[in-house]
Amino acid sequence: MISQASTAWRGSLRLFLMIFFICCGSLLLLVYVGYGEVQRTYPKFVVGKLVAQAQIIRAPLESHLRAGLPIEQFPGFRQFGERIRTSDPSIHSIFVSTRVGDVAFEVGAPGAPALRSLTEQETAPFLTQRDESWLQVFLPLHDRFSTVGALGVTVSRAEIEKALWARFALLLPLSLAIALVCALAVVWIDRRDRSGRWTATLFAAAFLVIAALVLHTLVSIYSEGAQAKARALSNSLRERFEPVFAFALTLEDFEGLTQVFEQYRQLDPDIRTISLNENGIVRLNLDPAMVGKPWRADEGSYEFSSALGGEKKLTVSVILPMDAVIAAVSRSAKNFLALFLGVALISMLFLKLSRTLTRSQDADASENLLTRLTPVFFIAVFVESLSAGFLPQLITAAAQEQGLSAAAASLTFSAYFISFLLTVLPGPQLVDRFGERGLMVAGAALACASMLVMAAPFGFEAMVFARALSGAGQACLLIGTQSYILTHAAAGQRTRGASIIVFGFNGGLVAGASIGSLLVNSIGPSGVFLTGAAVIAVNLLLVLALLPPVAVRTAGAGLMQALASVARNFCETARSYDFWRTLAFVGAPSKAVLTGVVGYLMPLTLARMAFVPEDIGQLIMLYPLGVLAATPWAARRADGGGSSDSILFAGMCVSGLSMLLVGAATLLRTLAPDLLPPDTLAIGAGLVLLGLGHGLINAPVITHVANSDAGRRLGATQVASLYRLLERMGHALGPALAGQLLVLTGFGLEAVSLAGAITLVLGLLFAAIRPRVQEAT
Amino acid sequence: MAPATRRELLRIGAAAACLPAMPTALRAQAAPAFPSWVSVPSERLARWTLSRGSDHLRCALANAPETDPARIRVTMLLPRRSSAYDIALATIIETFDRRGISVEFDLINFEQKDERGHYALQEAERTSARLIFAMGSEATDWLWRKAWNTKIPVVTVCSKDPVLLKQMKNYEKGSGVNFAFTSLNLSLDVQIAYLREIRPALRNVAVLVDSQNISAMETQAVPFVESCNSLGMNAFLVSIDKPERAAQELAGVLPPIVRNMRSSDPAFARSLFWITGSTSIFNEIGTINRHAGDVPVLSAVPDVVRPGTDSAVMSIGVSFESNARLAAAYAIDILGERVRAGDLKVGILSPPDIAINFLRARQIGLKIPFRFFELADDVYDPSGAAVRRRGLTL
Repeated sequence: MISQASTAWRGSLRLFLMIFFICCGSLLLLVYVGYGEVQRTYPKFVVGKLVAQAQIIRAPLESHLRAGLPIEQFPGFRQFGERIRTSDPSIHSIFVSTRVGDVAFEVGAPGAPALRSLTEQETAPFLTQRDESWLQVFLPLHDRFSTVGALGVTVSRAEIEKALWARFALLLPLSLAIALVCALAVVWIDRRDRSGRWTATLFAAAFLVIAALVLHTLVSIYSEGAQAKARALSNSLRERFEPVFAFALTLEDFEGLTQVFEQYRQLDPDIRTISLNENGIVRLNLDPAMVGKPWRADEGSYEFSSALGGEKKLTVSVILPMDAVIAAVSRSAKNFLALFLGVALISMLFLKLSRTLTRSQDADASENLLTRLTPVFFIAVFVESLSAGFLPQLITAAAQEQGLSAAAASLTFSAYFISFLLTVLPGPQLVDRFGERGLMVAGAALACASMLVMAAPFGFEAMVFARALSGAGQACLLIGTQSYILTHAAAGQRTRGASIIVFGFNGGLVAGASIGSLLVNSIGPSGVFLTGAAVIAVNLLLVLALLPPVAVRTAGAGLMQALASVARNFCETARSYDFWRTLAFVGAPSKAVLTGVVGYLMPLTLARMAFVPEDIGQLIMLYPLGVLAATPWAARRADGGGSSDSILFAGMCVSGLSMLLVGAATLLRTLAPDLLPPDTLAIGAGLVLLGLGHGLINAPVITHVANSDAGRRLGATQVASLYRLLERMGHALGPALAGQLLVLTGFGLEAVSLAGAITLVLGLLFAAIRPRVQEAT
Repeated sequence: MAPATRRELLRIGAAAACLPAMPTALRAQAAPAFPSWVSVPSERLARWTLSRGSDHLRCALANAPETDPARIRVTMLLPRRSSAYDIALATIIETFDRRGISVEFDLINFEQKDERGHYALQEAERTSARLIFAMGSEATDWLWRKAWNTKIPVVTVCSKDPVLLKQMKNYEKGSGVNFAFTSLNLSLDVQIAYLREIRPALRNVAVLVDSQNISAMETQAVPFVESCNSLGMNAFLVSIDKPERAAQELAGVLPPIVRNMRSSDPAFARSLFWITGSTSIFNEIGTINRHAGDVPVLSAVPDVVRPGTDSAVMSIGVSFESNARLAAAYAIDILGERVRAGDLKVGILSPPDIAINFLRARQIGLKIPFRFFELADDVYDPSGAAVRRRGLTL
């Protein structure tokens, strides 16, 4: 009795710790991503503000310089500078640097770095310079003949980040508290209701609470940034108008005043309007229709007004729309959604694992093993997918650095799949020799080594080597997982076992692409690879801890026998017209599209279209979501007696059309920019459709070849195994073919269209060239 | 002995300021005075020493002793006496001083005589001068004709547009030889663009010029009229033939012109008068204003915008100071071997010197583009008093 209670408590404690750590990890990752986002976006508001503040000094300074006087003799710099610093204590220093780099004036604390190159900014309206410690804005200073120096405004990044972190730091204890409450609630509920349906709900609720708080923090930070910018712009305008009133002039003496407003909007397109008002009536406005009407700022905007001199009650008001803030926050919301998907998938796996470990005695061994196997395979794919949003760009840049063509990068991807193929080929022999667990440990070790090499700055050749290592490692993990399923899953659990592969691959891709592309913004590619190495190292420990050792079967057939068997099967299928038709027109091409288009071509072209890594990763993530959505339906249709021929044909058509949609989006948008949805929408829709198309192919294609005459002659397992092996040729060839398409189309999205057209043609050929009736039956 | 004039005393005082250790009485006796064909205000000579040359047409100004190894020698060729050259010289020595360049300027008046010009060139070579300033259009013309292939780099200053004078083919390229040209004129395109900013639908442009002032006719008035007409405007010359009777001549020709303008442009929204660099014309600005009525009178010469009502409403041009600063900047770059003289394209000021008189602007109801106000070096407020001079608020 005591022992039972003790076991129950131990189980509850294990469940509590597992839930607590998962919740903590997820929520802290959410806060970290939110903080990373604000670190990236907030400086844009700061730069806009600094430019406006610098303009306050630049106008009189340039007037002085145009008079032919030396910079050093400018009077009043200290007064101007101190006035700005008093109104904005975040400014570290304001200084004037001469052409040769000497500091002519400086207010504030010394220590800010000088402008690195004045030449660069002679034609630019302003230049930003940033390093780990400082964020600086430089405005060039001109006399009548040349650029004679620059006016720099410096803020300390550490100070900015400290202020920002102070806002996010509040969320850390809250996250821990919510994780604690969540874990306690799960344990409490678990003692009463073991179905586990509340766990996901509680987890989602905790995630949403923290996400809402992070978003609220972002809104408030961006709002303050926008308001500070509006205030700086308004003050800058006031300084420019001040001489008018100082010289007893009036606005009636001038024309072209709105051009001044236009200049400000050119420098900062976020400005919605600038208005000069007299006694509350609009005198001048960027929108001429507003002149003469009572001044009223739009709702949903940030306004700041400065009073001008003169007898009349004149004010200049700058209006910044909330759209800029909303756009910045909506990007965070989108990132959080992607993160939620990724984290939810991981959490689901580990919650289930924690239940299994807690109730290991209740479940049957087969079920138990499958539950333990799932996270291991999932993590392997997850780690591999962390770099999905930026790997092609990284490798292409490395290739170009060594004087190679951009298309040469595709070799790296082919190296991965060739290595994968060469490892899979003697798969059964490797299992016999090292056992499933040994093979998976070796696979995790190889993947970890690959990540470490990728993280180091070794250059292009090392990347090729690392990718080959990764291919071999992933193959070992796949072979081990498949063998565990085949060897240890009960007969009734085989289908579920196969779903581990499907779920692991696509779920891992979703989670990896979404989290990796968010992490790369803050920790860089090397940081992501090091994180991947750490995670795969943990996976190695999980393999050792969770999976049972299996006796090594050294008596198995040797490699030569295996190759001979493959060759025999190959010859046997040579006469199967349907087998080869399916492989050539459907199987291999769809795998080539997966590795060539989704894994290589899309990230590269999207990066060239100025998509940031997080957007690329999230777009890529849509593909496996499509696959996951279509796979169950397609499998049911194929198993339920539906015509696999027609399902495969439909899959090819959908995937071909989806790629045409992706490629044509840019072209159509150029032709009718107002009528069509933005590129992102079209590309996203295209990738979902491509996933759906491949979802229609992945499972039914196995059923189809198994039902072919080759399947009947060799047996379903043998033919499926041979098919899977040959299908990997498509994997290996995909990046190389995509590289050629890229060169052919000048690295545009048209390459995707071309791939789509080829896919459609192959689909039509598949439908048109039907097997002879006797073979088909 | 006749008492010294105020100017002579100032000159002596300026030179004396360079010798702080000497007793005051001795300084006044020791320092030489400028010859009659050149002069620099004393306040600009704080660090300079004047020395007489080998003859009365030569003198030297140095800001460092001969023993200074960094001191370089620059020859300045002048054709005659001119207040414009004095301003340019003062600006150039000020610019060299500010940049901390140790230099001796060897000033030679060649009186537009060939033998004197050749002597100046020989002296420049003999004394290893590193650069020659050609001061004024006459010096530039003589050097360009007689010494275009000189080994010593030449920078022109206070000279009219070298493209209009056919010395250069265009504004985009350098001379290719050892000459760097600067221009006292704005390019015609720029002038017209600025005028159109004030009068967007500009049509009638009356260009006032002294027909006896050949260089003003050739480099300013005639090309300006031709350019305006090529753009579809109705531009025409209003010339006076006898400078000494400018007031009477202007009083005779202006009223019918204004009547004509009114017939096609009743509100004078498309008309203006443009004064070129003729002293006899711009000295009669009061007369011109009286007859021009509400037609804006603008000038290419900054000096025509003055305090009070006897002023052009605005000037858009190049002052002697600005041109000299540009020439000095060219010279310093050449001396520093950062650029070759032949690679420098024609130095034209941008933005131009702008002066505005708001008293006149209000009188004729002219609105000033705010951009011009921000760029203006000289501003006179609605009472006609100066409130900004040389870019500095007073």
